[in-house]
Amino acid sequence: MGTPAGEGVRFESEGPELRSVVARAVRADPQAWELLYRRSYSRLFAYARRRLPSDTAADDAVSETMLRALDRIPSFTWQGAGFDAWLYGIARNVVLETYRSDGRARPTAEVAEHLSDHADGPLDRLVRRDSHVEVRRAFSELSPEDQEVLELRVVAGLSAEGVAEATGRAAGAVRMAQSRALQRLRGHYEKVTRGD
Amino acid sequence: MATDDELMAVLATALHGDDREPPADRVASLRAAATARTVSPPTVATFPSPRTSGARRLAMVAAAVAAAVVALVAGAAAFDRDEPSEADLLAGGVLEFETRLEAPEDAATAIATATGIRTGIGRIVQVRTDDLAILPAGEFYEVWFVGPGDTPEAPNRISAGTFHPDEDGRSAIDLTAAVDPARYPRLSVTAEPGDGEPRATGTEVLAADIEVLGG
Repeated sequence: MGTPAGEGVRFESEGPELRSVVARAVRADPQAWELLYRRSYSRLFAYARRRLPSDTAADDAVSETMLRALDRIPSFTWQGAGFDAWLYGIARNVVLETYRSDGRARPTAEVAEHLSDHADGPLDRLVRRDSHVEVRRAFSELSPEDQEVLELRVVAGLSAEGVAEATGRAAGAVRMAQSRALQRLRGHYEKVTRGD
Repeated sequence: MATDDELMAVLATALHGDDREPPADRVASLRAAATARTVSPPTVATFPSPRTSGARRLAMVAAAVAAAVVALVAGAAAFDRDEPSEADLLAGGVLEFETRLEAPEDAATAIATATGIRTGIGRIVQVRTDDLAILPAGEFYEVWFVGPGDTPEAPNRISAGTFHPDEDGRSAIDLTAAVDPARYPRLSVTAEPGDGEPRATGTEVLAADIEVLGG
């Protein structure tokens, strides 16, 4: 019973395989829910971990996201921006509620520091001399709003319509926000590589 | 980095963390929560508020499911203690009818078998099929004995019971019915919405005429 540990779950973003699993999930099929959890976990965890103070808090947020998805799946339709956008919309609200229930808002500087430190340890920073390190550092300089739109587009793989649905904005506004965020990212990246 | 697409591609690689597996206990709790929905729809008392933290909420749901299972098993054991078993009834019964149910012409192909065993308490109707879809939580299939002249406006049918397929899509159910198949000579299976309406309001998915053996 259940998917063996370590067995990756890969299926095309919104293809027929995902649709089949979601159809089973609507009927509360436990195996379907396990597949969806395993499929979405890495990306949701990364999204939550960039915004919450610990691995445990991120795991709590992802668990809560999946449980709310189970509650709400009867109202999900494919007429929106797709399943991933719907799921990220739930995750986003869970993370925001965690901030509010903690009684504090995370200041931009704290988020930036966490983002730049989280992905690499000191040894990684010493030995890795590729552009990824500089890009991550430049990314950490962006505002939370810029970070979110880029993360949902490139890491979560959502379309502009998907980001719009997840964040409650218009698709056109998302595209414009993405363009500006990339412009600012490019500016920060140039500063980082110059050593400013 | 020349273009936005190239920058996005590098960013995607830079931000993509290691592939991770979710904690096994969290997966198990989500599965338990899903299973609980196939048993019965959620109630306020059963499922904690979304405001409860994720780990605690999953743990509370899993505990509620476990408690419900224990109660069901205890109740079933108490019920069976002083009553003849179904096996005893079947062993002492007489084959009354056997029929093959099929889907209406314009519906997806599905078949089932139904066997009626007359016993001292009526008859046990055994329905077997692997062809029925798993319905959304709260909905169910219902077996009817249908009499002459039955219409939605003027129903002439008696329910023999309700069921839903197991998680593998198999239905192997035994229903007890005191209905005389000679007076209600047609079996029908409908997919009901679970809205509390006792009349048949759902779609017929399987049906067959009953020919009582031995006249």
